[in-house]
Amino acid sequence: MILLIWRIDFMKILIVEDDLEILRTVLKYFDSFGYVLEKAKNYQDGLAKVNEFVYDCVILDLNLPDGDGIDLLAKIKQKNKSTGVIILSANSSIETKVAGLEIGADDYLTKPFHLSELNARVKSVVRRNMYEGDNTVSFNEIIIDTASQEVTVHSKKIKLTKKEYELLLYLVINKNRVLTKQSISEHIWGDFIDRTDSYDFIYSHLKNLRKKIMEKDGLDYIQTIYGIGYKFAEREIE
Amino acid sequence: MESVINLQNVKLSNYNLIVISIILLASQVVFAILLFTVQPYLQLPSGSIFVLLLLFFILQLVALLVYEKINTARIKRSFGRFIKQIKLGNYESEESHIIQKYDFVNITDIQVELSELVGRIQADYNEQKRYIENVSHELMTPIAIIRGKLELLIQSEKITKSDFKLISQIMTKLDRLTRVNQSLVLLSKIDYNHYQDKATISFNDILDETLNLFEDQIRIDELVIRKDIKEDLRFNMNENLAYILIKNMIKNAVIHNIEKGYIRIKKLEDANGIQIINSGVIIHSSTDKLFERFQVEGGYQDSIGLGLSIIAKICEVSGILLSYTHHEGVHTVTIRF
Repeated sequence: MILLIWRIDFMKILIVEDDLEILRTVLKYFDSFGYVLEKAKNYQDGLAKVNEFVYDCVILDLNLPDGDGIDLLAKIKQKNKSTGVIILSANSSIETKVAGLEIGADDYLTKPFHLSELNARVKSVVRRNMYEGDNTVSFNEIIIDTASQEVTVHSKKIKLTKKEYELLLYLVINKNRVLTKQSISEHIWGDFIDRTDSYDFIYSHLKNLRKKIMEKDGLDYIQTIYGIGYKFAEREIE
Repeated sequence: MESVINLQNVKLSNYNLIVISIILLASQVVFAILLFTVQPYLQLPSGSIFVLLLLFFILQLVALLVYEKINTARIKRSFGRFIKQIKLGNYESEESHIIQKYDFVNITDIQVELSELVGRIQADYNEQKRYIENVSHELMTPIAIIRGKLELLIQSEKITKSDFKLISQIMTKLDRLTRVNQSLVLLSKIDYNHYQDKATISFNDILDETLNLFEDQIRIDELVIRKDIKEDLRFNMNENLAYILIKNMIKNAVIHNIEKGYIRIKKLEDANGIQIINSGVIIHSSTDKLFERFQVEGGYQDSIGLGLSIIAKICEVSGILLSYTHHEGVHTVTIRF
């Protein structure tokens, strides 16, 4: 158990991305989660890093200046099957997405992406690929079992709708971070629903979620950040 | 381009007329000389030579007319094929000779002219294709960076309420920028036949999935959904386009609806197709105009006004008949496969 916790908290992540600004932004967002982060600016760099260490997850940009990202993906999977690979690409065409997943990528994210979404994908990929299979995500008294999709508060089960469950998991995975309404909306409904009304839906789902948690004597961790979105965190005593 | 062809045609017939006259005259002279040479041996009556010459002339004329008729028909067919090729031109092919050689008589000028024109169109096409491929990368990367930086910025403890409001406004506009860009890239991709693979699509599956996506909206606006589709409706088209088409149609019916309104989805009785009827606001602009890009009706601010353009474009390339009518707040969209 201790080993498992160690693995989750010190996830080793490699980011292969030729755009330095994107690289820096992702590194900065991930930094405070306590991951062990490595970066590679091109294909050669990436290949060297992959050969040297074992990573839990590799975030891979397909458009690299000195080599084919798909080729690097194959090499990563060849070396260690349980390394999760998330493709990051500016190309939104569905064909590329299918091609990436067919050759063994675990997930695919299109630019422009939300950092919180990338984080959720990384966590999910790592969880899925772990042999030992610790499927719980927790925040104090709230424990989410991602295998059975069950949530307990103080060991008491609460019944959530699919959307409430997805919302809670997204918030807890990105705990202590301000999440934008746009990112939450895209996470739950995809990029197809593009109206501000979906923000009202988020509000109503969160209201129900809050109620269900508090019914089982859970604390209210969902904080509203004015105009921007929400944050799942311990409340500071005012 | 039409006027160019007509001009060339006039030139062509003048030129032909002169050639034909010269040939006629020359053959008449040759025949006359021949007749006069054989005359001493055959002992023909003197008047008959002229009769023979006249008969020969008439024969020649008839032969010429018949030939002309056949030839014109052949050229017409050939020309028709030629025009069709220009119209349906597969400009995306890398092949440099799209226009095949045609057996036009004496109109190689047009062929050369049009081949050059088509070559230019083809070059433009390829240029545009590269441009679209680049746009999505070149614009999406900076947008990704701005979005990421804003997400980092809002994590700061020092940000005040009024700053949050400013950042939120920037984010909203950034989202709009992303959506407009994505939609335009999609429209262009459909335009240059990017989505060509076809498969048998089950309409019901896509419909259920889409309605599920909009369930919150449907619940909050208290919309009544009625589906009049008994058997599964299948059709042959590109799968990605089918998804985009149906999602856009349902989305329009949902977001342009009224509270406690309705959406009725029914299969056409007489043909393979679907009709989506929904309640909505009464609009006054003409139907045609709504299909133009960036037309937003009904004061719906969030719309980028590309939904109907996308629907129309997909129907156009997939050979689907699309019609849209609105009357007293009842909107009907029909598609026929």
